Amino acid sequence: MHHVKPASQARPNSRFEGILLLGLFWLATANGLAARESVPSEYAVKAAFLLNFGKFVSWPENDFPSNNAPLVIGVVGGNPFHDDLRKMIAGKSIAGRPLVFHLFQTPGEVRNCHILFVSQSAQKDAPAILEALRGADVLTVTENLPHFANSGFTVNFVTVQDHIRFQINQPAAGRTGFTISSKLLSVALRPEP
Amino acid sequence: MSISTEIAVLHGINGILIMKQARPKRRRPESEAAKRRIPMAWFVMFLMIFINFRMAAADDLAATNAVDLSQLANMDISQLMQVKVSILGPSTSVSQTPAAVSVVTLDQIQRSGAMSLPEALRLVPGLDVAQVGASQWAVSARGFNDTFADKLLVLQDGRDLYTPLYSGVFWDVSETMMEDIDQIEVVRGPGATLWGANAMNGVINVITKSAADTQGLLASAGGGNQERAFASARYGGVIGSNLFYRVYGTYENRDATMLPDGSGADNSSQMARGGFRADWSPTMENAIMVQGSGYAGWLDQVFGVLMPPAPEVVTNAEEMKVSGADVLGKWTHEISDTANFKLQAYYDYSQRDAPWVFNEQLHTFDLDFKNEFAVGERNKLDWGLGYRLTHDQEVNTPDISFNPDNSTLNLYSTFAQDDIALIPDRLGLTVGSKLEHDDYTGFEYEPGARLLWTPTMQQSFWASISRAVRTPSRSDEAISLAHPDELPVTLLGNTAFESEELVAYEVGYRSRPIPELSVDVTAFYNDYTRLRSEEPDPANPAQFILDNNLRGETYGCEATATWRMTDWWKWQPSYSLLKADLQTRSRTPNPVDAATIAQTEGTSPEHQFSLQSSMDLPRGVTFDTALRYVDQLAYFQINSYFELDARLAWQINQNWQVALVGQNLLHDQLPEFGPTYVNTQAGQVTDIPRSVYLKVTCRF
Repeated sequence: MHHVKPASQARPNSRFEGILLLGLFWLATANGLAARESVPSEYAVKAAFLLNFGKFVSWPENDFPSNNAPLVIGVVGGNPFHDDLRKMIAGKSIAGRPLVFHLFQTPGEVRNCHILFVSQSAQKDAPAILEALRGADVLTVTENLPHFANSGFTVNFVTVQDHIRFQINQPAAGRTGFTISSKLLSVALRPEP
Repeated sequence: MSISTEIAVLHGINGILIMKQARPKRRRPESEAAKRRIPMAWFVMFLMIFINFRMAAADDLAATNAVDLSQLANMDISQLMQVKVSILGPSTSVSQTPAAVSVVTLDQIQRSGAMSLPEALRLVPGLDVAQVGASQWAVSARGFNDTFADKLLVLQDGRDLYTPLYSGVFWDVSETMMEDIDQIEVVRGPGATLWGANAMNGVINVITKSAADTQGLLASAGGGNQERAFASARYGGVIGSNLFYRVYGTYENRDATMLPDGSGADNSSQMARGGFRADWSPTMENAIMVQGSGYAGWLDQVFGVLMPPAPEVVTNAEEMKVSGADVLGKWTHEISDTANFKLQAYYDYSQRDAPWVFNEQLHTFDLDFKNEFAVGERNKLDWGLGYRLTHDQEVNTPDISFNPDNSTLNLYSTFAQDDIALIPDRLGLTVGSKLEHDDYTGFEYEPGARLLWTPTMQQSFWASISRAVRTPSRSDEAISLAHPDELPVTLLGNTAFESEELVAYEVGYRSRPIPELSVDVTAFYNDYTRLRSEEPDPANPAQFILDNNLRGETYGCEATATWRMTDWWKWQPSYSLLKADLQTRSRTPNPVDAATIAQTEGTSPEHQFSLQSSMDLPRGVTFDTALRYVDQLAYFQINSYFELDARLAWQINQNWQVALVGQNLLHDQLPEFGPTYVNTQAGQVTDIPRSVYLKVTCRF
């Protein structure tokens, strides 16, 4: 009777022995642990920077539909933050304005935000993005952008020995309606000419 | 295609009647030993819960070392500049998953021109996707393909799309708004350790976007010769600052496929669907998602039907009505940076009504809990508990009946899995098992072990052994199916039907020698036992009874590469090989088994090859082509063929896009698959015609 499993009585035994062995093995490996500093991802830190930028930039009142209208942080070129940025701004506000995350699908939509992160994969769309932003008070933030000083974008993340730093393009900032606090300018790196 | 066809797929009999000594049918007694050990299983589980909370507390103490998101969010600029980060993005390293996993993104789906989930699955290397009718598909991985393929688990956002009726997927109703899909994850090979029974040859997980990522208005519409007319609209908004929502609606009207003589096959379809999703994160640690949808469809079909007392088969054309609704809620809570749990519940209702053949109402309620936490540096533990209740009510007809005609089934499940860093960043071991209890076969366990070796950032090797089962479906147990054949014969389910069993061995290699090129190669050997067979009933020569009399092996390999030749031109070649060798376990081989074996071995192609090309041209123009080669399907006498899909799209400005899509361009009409029963009009192999459609999309 091939369909009657001769091993059916033995298998549960080995199953639970297996679980116990697994448990022992797990405890053994769990206890021999060296504490090692866990390192946050590049984008978790960049997300925290974006959040901070909002505190050091003041936008004209007419960039907001109302007194308590949200401050919108947009991302274009895929979402390298995954959920990190969204989680970080959940429930947070700056100067009474709740923070809102918005992922843009195409370069053309990016006008409707206050801070725009242009991910590396969107760099090829830079002309279209700048064109869409013409005349808008949007703090643009790029990363590892070549020839940043001449790009028309405002802030650029760079990585210096495993630390995230940023550059500010003052001529580009001067063409917009918002003002960047001197505090932020003082800690920014000078863009390479 | 009719439901009778669908059920008849329980393997063609071909009208051969063979007498054979009856075997005593016996319900497998539930192991007394196993019953006694249940408290043991619970003890182990509670131990894990206890340790989890102990470790969560320890995590709080250790948080001075770990920099978590909330800490980062509260740092000022000068503090942030002091934080050391890891820059090891996915752009330079190879995937770290010890399984044959492929991910298809929304961008790839849209650029392929896919209008349905199965079409999108054509992009996955190693999957076998064949169109059967206007909205009928046969989809499988690693063999056993069929319109009623029963060895693949398909989920959408954690909701099971499979039907307990035959352990497969009604692809004609398994759709969603394509623009909502974030990505489709496909695992070839068993996923049973995490996903349980029916994740035997693969798992397909359709993940839709968060409502926060679908803000604004999107509308699209178009039409063509096969996709006669389609339209969809979606609106996403926000309430307050962090409650995002979207609502959507879609409509599709598909023309029939062709009979070989060029006339229509009377299988056109119409489908309307609507739904919503809301995502709310009240705090950084909590995320709540609720989604729901409903659909109604009208599917034309032609089939042979028995109308006693007339002995002959009558060909009948009619419209089958399908409808359904589902609602799902999920709560994700982050206990700490390295621990979280998810609690999910859903309810799903579906109805299929073909008055003369088949009528089913199915209710599914499912509750699922998952907990994940790190134990120190080297262990990541996952465990979960699940419960599912299904209730179905059938209306018995002369063609298809179930005894009893309704059933209420309970499925209890638990799993635990540990991800162990044997050598951090170099060698990892994943071990775990699912343990389930279903009403038909009692306890089932599905353990697996996977080893991942990453000698350098640019390459990884993996190997795995796992066991998976396919538990009996309602049809396996209780169907009575009149075969509209030359000889009136009946196929009967068997309450002693046992789970089909698989032990799978896999190895894989991934490499990214240069940033522009990645390569992924997998080889597998699958050892199946207790596969479904049909046995002649010695008491009645006009009856066959389902049994577990087949066994066999499949083996093969899958290889794919992605090459970004230039900034604007990407290539993806793929190849897969599949060999199948099945045998009967009967002492006296009978022609029915031989026919079933010929069918199983002859409905999946031995070789498949595809070459995809994606070009980003100036002025917002993209051009994508996909060439595919499919080997012959001996059972349907379908020859090997090449086919070509192409899509040319123009993003006119930020709001408007227009796309022209051609599918199956190399032939006027061509069969891709056949029905797995014989002798009615619907039983003919139908041809898939060339399809061309235009689609306009706008976003505001």
